[in-house]
Amino acid sequence: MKLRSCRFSLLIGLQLILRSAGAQGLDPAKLLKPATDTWPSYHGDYSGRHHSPLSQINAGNVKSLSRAWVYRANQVAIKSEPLEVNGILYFTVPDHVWAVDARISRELWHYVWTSKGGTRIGSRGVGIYGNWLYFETPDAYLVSLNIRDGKERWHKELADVALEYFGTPAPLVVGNHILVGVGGDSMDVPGFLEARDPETGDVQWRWYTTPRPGQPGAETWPNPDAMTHGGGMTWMPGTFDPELNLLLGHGQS
Amino acid sequence: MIGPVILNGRPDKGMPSFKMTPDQISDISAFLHGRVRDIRYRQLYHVKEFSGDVRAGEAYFTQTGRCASCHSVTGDLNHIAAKYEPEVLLGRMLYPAPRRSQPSPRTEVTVTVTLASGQSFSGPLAHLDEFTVSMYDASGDYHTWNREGLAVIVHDPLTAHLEFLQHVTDDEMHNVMAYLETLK
Repeated sequence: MKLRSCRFSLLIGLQLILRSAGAQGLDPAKLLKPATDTWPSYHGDYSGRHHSPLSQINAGNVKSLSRAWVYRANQVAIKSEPLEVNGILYFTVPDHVWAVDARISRELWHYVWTSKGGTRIGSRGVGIYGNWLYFETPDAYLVSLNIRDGKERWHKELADVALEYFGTPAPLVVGNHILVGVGGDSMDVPGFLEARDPETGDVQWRWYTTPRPGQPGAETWPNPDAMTHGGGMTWMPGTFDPELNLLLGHGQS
Repeated sequence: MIGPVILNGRPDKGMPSFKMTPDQISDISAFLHGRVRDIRYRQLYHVKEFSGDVRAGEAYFTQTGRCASCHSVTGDLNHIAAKYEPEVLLGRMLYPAPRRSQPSPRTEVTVTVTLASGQSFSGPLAHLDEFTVSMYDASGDYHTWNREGLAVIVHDPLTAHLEFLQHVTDDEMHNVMAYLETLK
């Protein structure tokens, strides 16, 4: 059993010691100090280091990695960071979300969204808050699913796909905020970051990555029209400093 | 090989020619091969007579075989012989129906997993091998564990059928079938 456990851990690049799964969901408070047997957000923790302190896999044995299983999504390339919560992996490609048993690759559910237009360049994964899962679609919707069965709870439009906005980042959960960004590189639309209510999906606040007239930094722009078409897409999840209550770096913004 | 025979017939044997298209001949050829396969694998056999003893079968059903602890001839097996051909009924008795996608309490395998802490979970079994046990609990949450250090008890409602197949004699099987055939 130890051998199998080791092989599995090596596969997903984390030294996971998957113990008891309580409920399938994730207490948001645990995001502040994630247990070492879980990878509950895009970066693993708020620091963005993508680092696990576990040491079973190290420079001496990494060459012994071998394949434990393969799960084929039969879609485009997987660009998402799989989250692991209570022994289950949650990952995406544009328009698709899966829940797969991390030990045995058993598919628990597969959700399919049908985008109307948009850009399918990549989907970076999901965010998890309690028993709910969140992801963004190529046509710039935020969709909430039940983590148990992958059934849709609601979907909310983030931006107008006709303006060439699209959804790529994995939503970042901070407290009772679902932080979502947008892609939209091909037009000069303004980038923004939004906080959405985890229960309703309603907007809590929106922050533009370029200043609005009168805001700090506005004076550095040649004119109001330029600053409101300044790009700055929030296409990747950012990091969070709990001590300073400060969000940092979403995408290139 | 059969194509020219169909196309040209065998006039000397009295078989006329059939001016069929290559697709039609191919279909007929596939059908004939299928019939040969069915015969080879005894798919065309039908049970016409029952050699067993009805009363002995009933006794086995209610006593020795303990069939009646799960089944009832006035309940789930009411008119069972009218519902299935004898060979189908025999097959279902020896090799119970495969697990359906819609689980039924009558056939669903459940498991009770007790952790080292003493905490226990019971519900439908999702996966079991030498290393891993996965299941759904009463609230519908999915759990997956490394089996090391766990107590895992599997409950399979079809266990009695599997044991039956290992121990039943030909006479007992024929007797039970003769009894079941009275349940028209």
